[in-house]
Amino acid sequence: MNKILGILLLLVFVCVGTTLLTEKFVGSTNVEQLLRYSAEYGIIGIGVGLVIITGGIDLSIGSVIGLVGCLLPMLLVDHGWSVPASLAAVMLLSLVIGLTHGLLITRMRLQPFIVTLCGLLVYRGLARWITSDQTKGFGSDFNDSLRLLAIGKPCSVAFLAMLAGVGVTVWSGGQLWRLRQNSQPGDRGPSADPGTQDNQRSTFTLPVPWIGVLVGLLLVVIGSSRFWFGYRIDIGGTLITLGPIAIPGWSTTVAERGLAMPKQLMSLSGWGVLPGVLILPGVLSLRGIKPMLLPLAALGVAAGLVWAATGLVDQPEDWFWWGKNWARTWRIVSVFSSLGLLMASLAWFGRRAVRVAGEAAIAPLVLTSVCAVLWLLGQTPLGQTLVPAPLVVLMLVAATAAVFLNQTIYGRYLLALGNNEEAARFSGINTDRMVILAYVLCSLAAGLGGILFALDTNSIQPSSHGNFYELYAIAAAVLGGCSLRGGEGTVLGVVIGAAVMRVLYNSINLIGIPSQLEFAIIGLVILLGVIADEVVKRIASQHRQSRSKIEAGQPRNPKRQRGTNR
Amino acid sequence: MTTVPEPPLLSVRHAGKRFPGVRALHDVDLTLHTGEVLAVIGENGAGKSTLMKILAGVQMPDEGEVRLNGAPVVIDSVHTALEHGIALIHQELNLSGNLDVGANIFLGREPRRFGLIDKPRIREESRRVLDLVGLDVSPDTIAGTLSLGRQQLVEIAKALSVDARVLIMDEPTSSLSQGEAERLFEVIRDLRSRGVSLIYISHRLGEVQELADRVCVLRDGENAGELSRDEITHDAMVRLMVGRDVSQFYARRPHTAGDVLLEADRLRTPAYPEQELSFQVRAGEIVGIAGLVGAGRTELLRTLFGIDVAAGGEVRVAGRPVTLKHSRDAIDVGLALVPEDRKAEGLVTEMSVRANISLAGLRRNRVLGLFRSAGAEQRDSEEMIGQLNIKTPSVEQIVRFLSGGNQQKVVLGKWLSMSPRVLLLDEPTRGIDVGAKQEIYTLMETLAEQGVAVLFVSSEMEEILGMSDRLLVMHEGRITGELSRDQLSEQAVMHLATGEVSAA
Repeated sequence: MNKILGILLLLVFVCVGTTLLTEKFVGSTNVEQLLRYSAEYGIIGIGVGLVIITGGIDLSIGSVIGLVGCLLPMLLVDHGWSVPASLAAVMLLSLVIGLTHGLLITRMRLQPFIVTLCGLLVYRGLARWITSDQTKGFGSDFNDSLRLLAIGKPCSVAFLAMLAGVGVTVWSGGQLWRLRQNSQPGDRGPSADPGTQDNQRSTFTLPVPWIGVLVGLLLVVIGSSRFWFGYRIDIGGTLITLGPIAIPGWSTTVAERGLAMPKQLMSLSGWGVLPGVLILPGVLSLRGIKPMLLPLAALGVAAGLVWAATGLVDQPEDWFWWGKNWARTWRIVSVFSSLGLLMASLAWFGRRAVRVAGEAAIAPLVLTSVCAVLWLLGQTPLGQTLVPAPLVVLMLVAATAAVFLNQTIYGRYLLALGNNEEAARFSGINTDRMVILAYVLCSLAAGLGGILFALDTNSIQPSSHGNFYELYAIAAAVLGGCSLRGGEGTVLGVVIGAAVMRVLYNSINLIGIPSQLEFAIIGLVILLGVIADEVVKRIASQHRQSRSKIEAGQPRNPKRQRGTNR
Repeated sequence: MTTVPEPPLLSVRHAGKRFPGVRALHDVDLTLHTGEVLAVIGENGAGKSTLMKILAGVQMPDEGEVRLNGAPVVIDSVHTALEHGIALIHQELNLSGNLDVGANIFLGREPRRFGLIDKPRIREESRRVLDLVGLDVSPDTIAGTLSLGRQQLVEIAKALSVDARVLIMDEPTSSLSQGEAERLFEVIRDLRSRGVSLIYISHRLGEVQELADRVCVLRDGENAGELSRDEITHDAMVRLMVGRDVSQFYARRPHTAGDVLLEADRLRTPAYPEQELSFQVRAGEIVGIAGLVGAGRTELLRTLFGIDVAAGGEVRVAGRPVTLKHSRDAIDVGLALVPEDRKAEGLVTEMSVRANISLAGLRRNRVLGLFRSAGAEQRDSEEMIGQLNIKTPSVEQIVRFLSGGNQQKVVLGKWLSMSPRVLLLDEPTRGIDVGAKQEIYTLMETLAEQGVAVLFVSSEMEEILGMSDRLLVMHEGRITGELSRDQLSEQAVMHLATGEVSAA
C-alpha cells in the first residue's frame, strides 16, 4: 500500500510539475494520447508483473507484440480472414508462446531469462520473415470498425468520473452502514498504531465514510452534467461480428455547448476548501497549535517558492543572463524542486496534524484536499477530455487481474511460490503448473497489447515494432512495486508505474529537455525510485524488528535502543 | 607424551559460545599434542562443530582462550588460523569442481610471477603435497571428475600445502566408500608419523576406535569426559556420549494404538535406492525415528509426503495403497508434514500468519472453484492461534517477525487446520525455546489421543526417548532396529544409530 502511495505521489509530482511548465500537457489531445499509451503499456505491464511475481522474467514481450502486429494485418488484409478468426488466431498464438515458455522453464528447468531471451530473437526473426520485412497496415478499411478498439473514444472522462462517483458513494455508504451495525463501544478496530495511542480520548470521530459519500455525490453531479450536455456519440461501423451478434463500435466527439457547466461546478467546489480550512485550525488549537507552526511555515515558504517559480515560466526566453538554454534549465529545475518542497511540507503538515489531533484532523484534511484538487482540475481543460478505448480495455484487464491476484486461490499461490517456492510445494501447491499459468497470462497480455498497438499504429515495421517494449513493461512493473526477487507486487501499482513511464516520456518532450536525454532521465528516475523504495523498506523493517522483539520479550540489540522507546 | 612438562601444541580453555536461544558451548577444555590423533565425539548438537569452527577461525568464542604452544592466540579469521597452521576440512567438500586440482589447492593464494599466476610453481607444489597424501593424479585433472574419496584427499593436500600442523577433519568418511575410507586412514596414520596433529570428528565409533590416540567426548556443549588409547571401547564412548537422566519433561500417558494408518512396504527412497524400508504406524501412536545426521530420516519423510518420488515399494494409508507423485497427493489422503527447515520449506516468511495458516487449505475451502474464502481463512487462523497459543499481535502479522517457536506453531497450525490423519514431523522442536517445545509435545500427545498417527524424526535423545511409543532407528538409509517403549534406552539407540545391528 505504501508503495502504491509512493508511486502515485511520483506520478502527481511529474504531472503537476509539467503542467506548471507548459499548458500543452493538460490539453485534451495530449491527455488522450497519454491515456491511450499508458493503457497499452499498462496491459503488457500487468502481464509481465504476474511473471515477475513468480520470480521470473519475460523478455520476449516486445517481439510477441511485433509478431502479433505483423500477423494481424496479414490475416485480415492479405488473407481476408474474418475479424474474430484473426483475433482468435493471434491470441491462440500468444497462448502457445506462453505455454512453450512455461513448459521449458518448469519441465526442462531452463532459466526464464534465457528462454525468453531466445523467444525475443525467434519471434522477431519470424515477424521479419513472414512479412519479408515489408511494412504492414490495415489501410483505411477498418477505421470505422476494428480500429475503434484502439483509436476510438467510447466515452468522456466525465462519464468515468460519474461512474467513480457512484462507486465511491456506494462503497462509503456501505462502510457507513457497517460502522452503524457494529459500533460497539471500546471496539477501536485493528488500527492500533502506537503513534496515536496518546489520543485514546479521541474527541469525535468524523467518519471518513461520510466524506466519501459527499465526494462521491459531488463527482456524480459534476460528471453527469458533462455526460448529458458535453459530448456527442458518433456511431461507427460494427466492431466485431460474431455470427448473428454484431458488436457496434462507436466514438464520441466533444460538443461545444454544455462545456461551461462542469467547469463552473468545479470552480464552485473550490469553496469547499473554506470550511476545511476553518475547521482544521479549530481542531488543532484544541490540542495546541504550537507543533503545527513549523510545518505551517514550511508550507507557506514552499507555496511562495512555487508561485515564484511559475512566475519564471511566463518570462520571455531571453531574460536569463546566461542565455536561453540556461533559462530553460533553471526554470525546469526551480519548478520541480519547489514543487517537491511543497509536496514534502504538505505531507509533513498532514502527518503532524493527524498526530496532534488524531482522527479529528483527517476529515477536514481530506475535504480540503479533495475540494482543492477539484478546483485545480477545473482550471484545466481536462473536463473535455475523452476516454480512449484502450483505457477501457485496461480497466477490464486490470480489474480481472486484481481479482485474480487477490481474490482467487491461484493468485495466492502465485504470491506464495514467488516468496518461497519450496514452502509452496510443501503445502501441496503444484508450483510448476502455476508458473506455466503465469507465463501464459503474460504472453496473452502481450498478445492483447500487440493487437492494440497494431491497430493504433496502423503502420507496422516488422523489424522495429515493439522493440524495447518488454523493458518498458518490466520498468513499469518494478516502479509499481514488483520485486524481481518475486512474491511482491500489485496490479494497481503496475498500472500507475506504466503511467509514470509514459508521463515522464511525454513531459521530457513537452518541457523542452533535449530528447536525446530521454532515456537517461527515465533511467535515473527509475533508479531513484527503486533506491527510495529500498531505503524506506530497510528503515521500516528495522523499526518493525526492534518493536516485535520487544513484544516477544526478547533482549534487544543495545545498538538500536534509541528512537523507539515510548 | 614425554616426562618433561611441555606445553601442548594446541589447547582450548573455558571456551563458551552462545547463539540466540542456544548455549552451544560452555566451559569446554581441549588439548592436542604434537603427532596425535584426537577424536572428538558427541551426539548431534553436542557442540563439536562449533568448537572446530572456533579453532579454524570461522567463528569467535564468546569466552575462553586458545593457546598455541602455550601462548595465547586470537584466531579471528580463517586466514589467521591458516597462518597458525590450523586447517579445517569441512564435512561437505569445498572444491570447485570446474577447476583443476592444482588451482583448487592454491585457490585464493595463487603464487604469482609478473602479476600472472605462476602455473609451473602451482604444478610443482601440488605434486609435492599430492605425494604426501599418496594421491596419484596430475594437478591438471579437473577436480570434479575425481571420485569423492580422491576429492577428500585433495582437500587434505590443500590443507598440507599451507604447512598445517593441526588438521581438523569433520566427518571425513561420511561420503566415502569402505575402500576410500581405508585409504584415508592410511594417509592419516602417515601424517601422524610425520608429526602432524589431527582432530578427527566422526559419528562412526568403529573408525574412532581404530584411529584415535585419545577421545574427547562432548555433551550438550560441555566436556563429558576423555578416554585414553587403552580405554577406547564402543561401550565407553556411548556411555559418555549419552549418560544423563531423562527428565520428567515428558509427562506421558501410554497410548492405545488403533488401526494401522500408515504403512510403508519395502519403500525405497531416491536418496538410498538400494535400501528397502518397511514399517507401520497405528492410529493414536507416536513413533519416533532416531538416527544420526545423514541416516536418511528426512529423505524418508519427504518420500512419504510425495516431495521426493519413491524409487520403489508401496505406501498404504489406512490400508489403501496410494501413489505419491506430489505433496498434493499426500495431503489428499490425509498426510501432513512439518518439515525440517521451517524457514526454507515450512513458511512463506514474507506473508501474514493468516496467509500461511490457510495456505494448504486454500484449495479445500475455495468458493466457486476459484475464489479464496476469506471467511474460512479468518476462522481457521483464529482457531489455530487460539488452539496453539501462537503469540502474534494479529492474524495479519508477517511471519518473519515471529519468534522461532511461534513460527513453528504457524507451520503446525497450517496442517492442523487440515485435520490430518497422519502427521509427519521432522525435527519439530529444532531451534525453539523450552516453553514452545513443551507445548508442541503436549500437542503431539493430544493429537495421538484423538487418533492421529504421529511419526516424528528427532536428533534430540531426550525427545526421542521421552516421546516415542515405539522407535525406529536408522543408519545409512536402512532401519537398523525397532525398539518398543520398554526397550528404549540411550545405549540401545546409540548402538543402533552407529550401525550395530546386532543389538536389536
